[in-house]
Amino acid sequence: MRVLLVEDNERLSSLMRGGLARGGFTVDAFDRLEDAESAVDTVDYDLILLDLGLPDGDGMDWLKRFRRRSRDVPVLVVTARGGLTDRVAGLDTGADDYLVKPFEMDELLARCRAVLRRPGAALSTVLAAGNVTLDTTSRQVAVAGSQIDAPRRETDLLEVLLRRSGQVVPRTVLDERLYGFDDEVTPNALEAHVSRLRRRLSDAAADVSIHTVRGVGYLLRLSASP
Amino acid sequence: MMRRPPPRHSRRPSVTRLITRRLILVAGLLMTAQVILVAMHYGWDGRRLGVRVAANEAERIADHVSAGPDGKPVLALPEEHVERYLHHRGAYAFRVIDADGAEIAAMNSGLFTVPLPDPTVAPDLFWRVVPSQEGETRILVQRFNRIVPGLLVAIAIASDPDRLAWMALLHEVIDHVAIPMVPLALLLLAVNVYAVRRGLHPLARAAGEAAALDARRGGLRLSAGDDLPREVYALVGAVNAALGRADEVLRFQREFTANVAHELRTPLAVLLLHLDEIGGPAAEGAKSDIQAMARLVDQLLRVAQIEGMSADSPVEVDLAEVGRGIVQQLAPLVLDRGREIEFLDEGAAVIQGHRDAVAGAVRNLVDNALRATPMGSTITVSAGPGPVIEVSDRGPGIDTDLRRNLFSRFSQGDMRTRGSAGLGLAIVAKTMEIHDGTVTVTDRPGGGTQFRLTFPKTLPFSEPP
Repeated sequence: MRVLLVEDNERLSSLMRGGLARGGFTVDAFDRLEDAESAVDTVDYDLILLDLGLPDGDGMDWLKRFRRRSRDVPVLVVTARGGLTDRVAGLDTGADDYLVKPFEMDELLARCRAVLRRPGAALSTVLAAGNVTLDTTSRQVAVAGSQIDAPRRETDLLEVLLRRSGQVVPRTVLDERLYGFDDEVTPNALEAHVSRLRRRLSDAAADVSIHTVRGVGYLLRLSASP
Repeated sequence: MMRRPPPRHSRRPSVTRLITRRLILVAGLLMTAQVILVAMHYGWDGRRLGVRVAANEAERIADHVSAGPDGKPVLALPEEHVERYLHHRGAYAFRVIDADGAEIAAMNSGLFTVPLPDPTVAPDLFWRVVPSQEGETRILVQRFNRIVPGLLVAIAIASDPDRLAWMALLHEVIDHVAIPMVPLALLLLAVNVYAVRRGLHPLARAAGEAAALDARRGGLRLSAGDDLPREVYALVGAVNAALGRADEVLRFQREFTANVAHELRTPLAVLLLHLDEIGGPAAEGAKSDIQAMARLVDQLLRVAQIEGMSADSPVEVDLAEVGRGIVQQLAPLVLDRGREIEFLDEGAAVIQGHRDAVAGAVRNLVDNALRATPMGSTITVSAGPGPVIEVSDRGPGIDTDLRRNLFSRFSQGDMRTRGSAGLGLAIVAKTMEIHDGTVTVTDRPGGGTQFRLTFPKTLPFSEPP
């Protein structure tokens, strides 16, 4: 994996380079947009890490120009601008993710891997969290490798929760995904499905559980260590 | 800082009142001068007043003469008038003579020490001053053809115990000073009050605008219309120039804070990555310190941002959406720390405000609650009813003394942090300040603390002119 790093702080650049190298990336680092520009012309990078405040211009402007000719190289913006509006603007401009300084190396590596996985996510057919897996094409659910039977609705529910594992999925989203327009839905249908899936998972000794956030939705997370 | 007491408006006279008072004073002085002039006019020449007194008396008597049934004049003098002549026999006298020279009525005729002119040839007005024992006797004969042709009324005044001279003088003053001058003075006053009120109207308007200005929102100016008089225009211009300088200071302060926050982040990132490389328990401790510092930098930036936000135009903010969003966002963190979080929509309103700021305030309150509430307990974020959003925890509660100035101190610029709370409460206080809302802290029934953000029911942001 070849990564282009554009960061003008020399020490930060070298620390990031070291960490990324240890994480298995090959890094080309530049401190100016001009150099980065000529680098992307000659090398096909798998990932670009971009600082915004650079000596010869604003990273955001460069990203806008860059996006006009290439959409497939993921760009992770690494910046000191942490305002919500900055983040939104960054993502609108075509950044795939936005990492605010300061950050730990583990987080940087995780974000890099996440944005690299993103374009290929559609190809990956097996979703996993803890010891629970779901094959999105065969609709097979397995806990710790052994297959369990789950009705269609519960499998769909598990899929949505797995795709956003660790995040709260609002119940409006779940209602929308699980029930078509023509379905007759009783008000407690979702609760019933959640509770059945929850029992099914715990019966199979899954190490993830479905957590209710009252008034908002549900989230799938690793159970607190036993 | 010393604070001057606010000016008491009631004690300050208005310009209209000042001008009115001065105009009344001037009118009073002028009238006094006029009175003195009238008095001097008669004082220099006693004869003039004497003629006036006698003529007044003749006029009064003539008023009671009328043509009788036979065409002859008849005098019907009222009692009180007769009394003057009865009581002061040596002082006043009159005679009424018809065209034939016949005396119709007379009293105290003895005072007429000189022969009166023949009625047929008498002039319209005959005046004589005759020396007597007590000084002099003034004799006046006047013709009143308009009542009965050839009618003569003669008056003799030897002394003046009834103060007729003073009465005459008073009448003169009223006739020549009060009647012409008082209406004129009143008219002038009215015109002046009207003119001053109208003239000051732009000033009152500018003052109203200035009072309504919110210094936190930059870029505001008083309107300097073409209808402003030069003096008011100069004042408005000066105020606007001062506002411009205040804007610059405000902008500088905001940018400075934001820049400092930005500049601090990169070195913190360097430090953090360095510690990552070093590893070990000591590095872990330092890393958590750096995270705390990064949080403080974030909050500092946040405060600066809220300051800036107040200048943006407000948007519709659904408090339920904000509350639900924050719970959704923070639930994983809360669960990781072994606490629960829930959201209750109790009929929250849609307010006019700044979504980022409101969300930031709620996030900070949840952050605080997470630190306070014990393991296994639940943090409740509830929106409504109305323009209200609350964050409650099951923590130990906040001391009453501390609670009282928990937020007020921030409005006085005190940004000291208290324990781990950091600038979180300052952010909450600032947010509510730009929304003209309030934040209150109460004990939660059943234990814990409840922070309540109350937004105004009406639009707090006036449209910029």
